[in-house]
Amino acid sequence: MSSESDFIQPNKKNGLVVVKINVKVFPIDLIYSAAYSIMDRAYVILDGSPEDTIYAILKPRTFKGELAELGRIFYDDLVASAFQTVQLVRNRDLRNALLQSLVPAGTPVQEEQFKEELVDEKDIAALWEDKFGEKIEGNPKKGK
Amino acid sequence: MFRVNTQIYSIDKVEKMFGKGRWVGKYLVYEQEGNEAEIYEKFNKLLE
Repeated sequence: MSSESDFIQPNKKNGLVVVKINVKVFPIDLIYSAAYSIMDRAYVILDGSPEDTIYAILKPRTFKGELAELGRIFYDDLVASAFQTVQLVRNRDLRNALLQSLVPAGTPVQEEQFKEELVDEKDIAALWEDKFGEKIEGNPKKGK
Repeated sequence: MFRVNTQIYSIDKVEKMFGKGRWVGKYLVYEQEGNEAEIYEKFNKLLE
């Protein structure tokens, strides 16, 4: 039976806590996600092997509590990230179905609308010569 | 002295953040003596 101290090892002397993470349980992407979410409260250094065990070294930044508590918060973030990922995967089909139900079936892509927007109605892009047929060089009266 | 695990952090990002280091296995090792908080801050930036 594992205990908390197997995974969360506070080091008061150095003012940091080492969190041991089994990558088979929490893949590296979840660890990055949890590290990112705790960054405002702690400095995070990751070490170890992405195929086996990752060590997250946490040093309080704005966090004022116990070192072990910081480790627990990190583990909570890991679990929350894992939960979100599982929910995203589970709900993927439902989410896609909902999104598709918002667009009526067979609705054509409105390319015509885009074409109209590209028309230069005010002739802004047209050259002066094309519009008025005469070059004006330095004398505004010449063009009139 | 500190080291950065290049299996976890992107080598490009690490070298951009800390400069060229000495390779020891999978680690980039830096001898630079600097402000510890600054180094920790840079490690956090590597995760952004």
